[in-house]
Amino acid sequence: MFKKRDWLAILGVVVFFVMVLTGCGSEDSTGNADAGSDNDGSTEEPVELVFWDENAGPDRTPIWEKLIDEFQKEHTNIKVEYVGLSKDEAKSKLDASIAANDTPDVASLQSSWLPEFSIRGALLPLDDYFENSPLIDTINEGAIQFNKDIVQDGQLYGVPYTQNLDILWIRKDLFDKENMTAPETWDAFFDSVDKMTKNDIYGYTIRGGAGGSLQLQRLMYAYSGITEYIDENGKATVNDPKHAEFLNKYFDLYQKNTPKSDITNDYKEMVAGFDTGKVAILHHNIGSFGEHSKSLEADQFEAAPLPKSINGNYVAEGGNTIGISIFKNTEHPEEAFKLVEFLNNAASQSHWNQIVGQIPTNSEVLEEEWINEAQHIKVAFEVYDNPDTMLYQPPFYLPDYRSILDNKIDPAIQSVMSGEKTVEVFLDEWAEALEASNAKYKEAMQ
Amino acid sequence: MEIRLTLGQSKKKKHKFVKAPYLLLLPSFVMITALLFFPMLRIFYYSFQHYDISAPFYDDFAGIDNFVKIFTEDPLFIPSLVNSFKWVLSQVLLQLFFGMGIALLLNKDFKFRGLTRGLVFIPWAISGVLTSVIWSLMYNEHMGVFNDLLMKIGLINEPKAFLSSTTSAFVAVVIAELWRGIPFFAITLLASLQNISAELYEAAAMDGANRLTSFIYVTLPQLKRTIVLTTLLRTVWEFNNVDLLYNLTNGGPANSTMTYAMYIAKTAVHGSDFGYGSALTVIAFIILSIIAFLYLKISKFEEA
Repeated sequence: MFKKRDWLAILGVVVFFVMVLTGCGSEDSTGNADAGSDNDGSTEEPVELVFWDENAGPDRTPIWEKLIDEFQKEHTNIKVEYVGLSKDEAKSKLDASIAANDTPDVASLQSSWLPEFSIRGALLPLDDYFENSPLIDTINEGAIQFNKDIVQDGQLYGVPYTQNLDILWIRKDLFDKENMTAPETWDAFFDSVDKMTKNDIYGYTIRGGAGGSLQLQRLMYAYSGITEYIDENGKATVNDPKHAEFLNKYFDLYQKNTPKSDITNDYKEMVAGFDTGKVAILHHNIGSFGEHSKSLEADQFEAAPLPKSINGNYVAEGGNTIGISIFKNTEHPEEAFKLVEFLNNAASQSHWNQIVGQIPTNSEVLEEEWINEAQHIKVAFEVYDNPDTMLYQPPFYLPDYRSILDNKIDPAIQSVMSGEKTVEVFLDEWAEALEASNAKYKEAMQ
Repeated sequence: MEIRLTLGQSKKKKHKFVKAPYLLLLPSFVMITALLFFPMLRIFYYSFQHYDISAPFYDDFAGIDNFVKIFTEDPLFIPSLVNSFKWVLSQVLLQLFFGMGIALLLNKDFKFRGLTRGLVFIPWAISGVLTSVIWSLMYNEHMGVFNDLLMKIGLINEPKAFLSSTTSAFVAVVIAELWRGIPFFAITLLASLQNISAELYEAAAMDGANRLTSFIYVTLPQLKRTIVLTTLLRTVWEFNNVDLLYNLTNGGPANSTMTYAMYIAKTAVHGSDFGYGSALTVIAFIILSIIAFLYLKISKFEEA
């Protein structure tokens, strides 16, 4: 049988493979770079930070790479590794990294994710850093307060660098041909869609595929004027009769005024339809400005606010911002916050938002010329600065809020569009899913 | 007595424990245990847990809750399973049929046979994502080649959105996957066809067999082992296939192309519910194991 020497050999082989499988021990997070000096001239230990971008792609990745490059020039002892995540995969990748306790140091995160990530103890509170930073005087106070309000402990977990707003994109050239202007009421919206549908052109395009439910709820609340998503008794308002009234009209547009393929339409297909002149009106946000401006001349398209609600005021979804957060696991919180500060300074925010076409949160940027010249930004300010504008707040705190929308409501939209389900049943199922999730959450938190 | 002793000693010598093979097998054993058995056991473990990585405060022991929910409440369990069976049956049977036809053709001598063989096998070498892009463009409502052709020959009056109808989407994706899967059968069957002795066909011809009877009584029995193995492998692969469906329809419209494997991926990966996703996976594992066992028994694979 086996002798002692054989057992040692077996043990050696096992240890070798275990080491291979586990990656041969821990990684030195400080990297091997030579010690550098900061821009203040002091020599500091070299530090390596990992930064995750939640919406990487050919348009946005180069912006981040440029900003990171400039940051590294300014802070020669800090090396930043950029990791781009695709929009559709980002949330699940972040979830997995938190579960595995293997998070990045810094990340760009949608504000709606902050409640969930903070409850899971993944994020570093930034209150102390922020209060001692010059950012406190420049970053939009409302956006900062909103990020504090949506999390359970009222702390700051993300510094927003950009703000978005859902609008209507209008093919101005097609509207001009028909002597029409952008609709200002919901009746005018349905009327315009109908009038613009002729020959090979569709008046509108519906997002029936991934992400459709998010856009749909923004339209529903903009129409109804309701500002409470789930009331104090845990009753959801998505199945309010006003929403059913709106959706019945809205889904009647399908195939009559929209392409048949809208039932599986994703962002790319929607934008392609608009940019190629097949579609006259597109509902998206100001962030698709960059896409349209690549394909169209400036005078061919324009932004218009979503019409005012039946109560007569603008109603938009709150928390439509993206910010920079630091994960609790970071070994270099000071350096990580330097990156947060850099990415939120006026120059960085200006660069990022001008290319992408969204609203900066840094007040110094708001004075810049491009802001005053950008028609779509003016439209966004017209809505946000209107004293009657109300923001509703979806239940971002529910851990399965996005999962319900993505995996239950998105396919259900297709059931409505294909005639398999009525609008009323669809909205009731939506409300039931949210109410059940809310009740489970409240019980767990008690 | 002396002879017996010699025999006994010889027998003992033959069964002497040899260590070297075990030592050489050990790395493979460690790798398989770590990379295959350990994750499998974890899936069985998680299937009895409430384990949602986006909501750790809900996590606890679930007992058989996940399985009860699947069989009693889950509105997608049966439809996705039915879609998977439809998908696997249509893919395996059609791929085998067309793959056999192509293999028989390529087994004949003709000019440019080498080039034709190379061209036929190209779809197998193309990645799933690229295949999805090619087919989504061809099916496109506004600029797709299918709509253009069908309108030119007068079969349709207006463009069709092939991937956007609950009735046509499944068939459209089946055709796309068929294009990619046929070469697999063609390659493996062609390799087996080339190993069939010409003498068998000569003997069959002398017994009065025509082409059809030669195919039935010579070719098919000789290919039986390959056919059983490839169809079994393909059944498992197609059951677990996600890429083309995910990229072309994402399970839609209205879950009409949602197969069981895709439902698992959406529940566990996108929904972060690894407990429930693991329970679905355990059921898939049991179903596939039963299918494989029955298939090998019925086809008498061991005797082939």
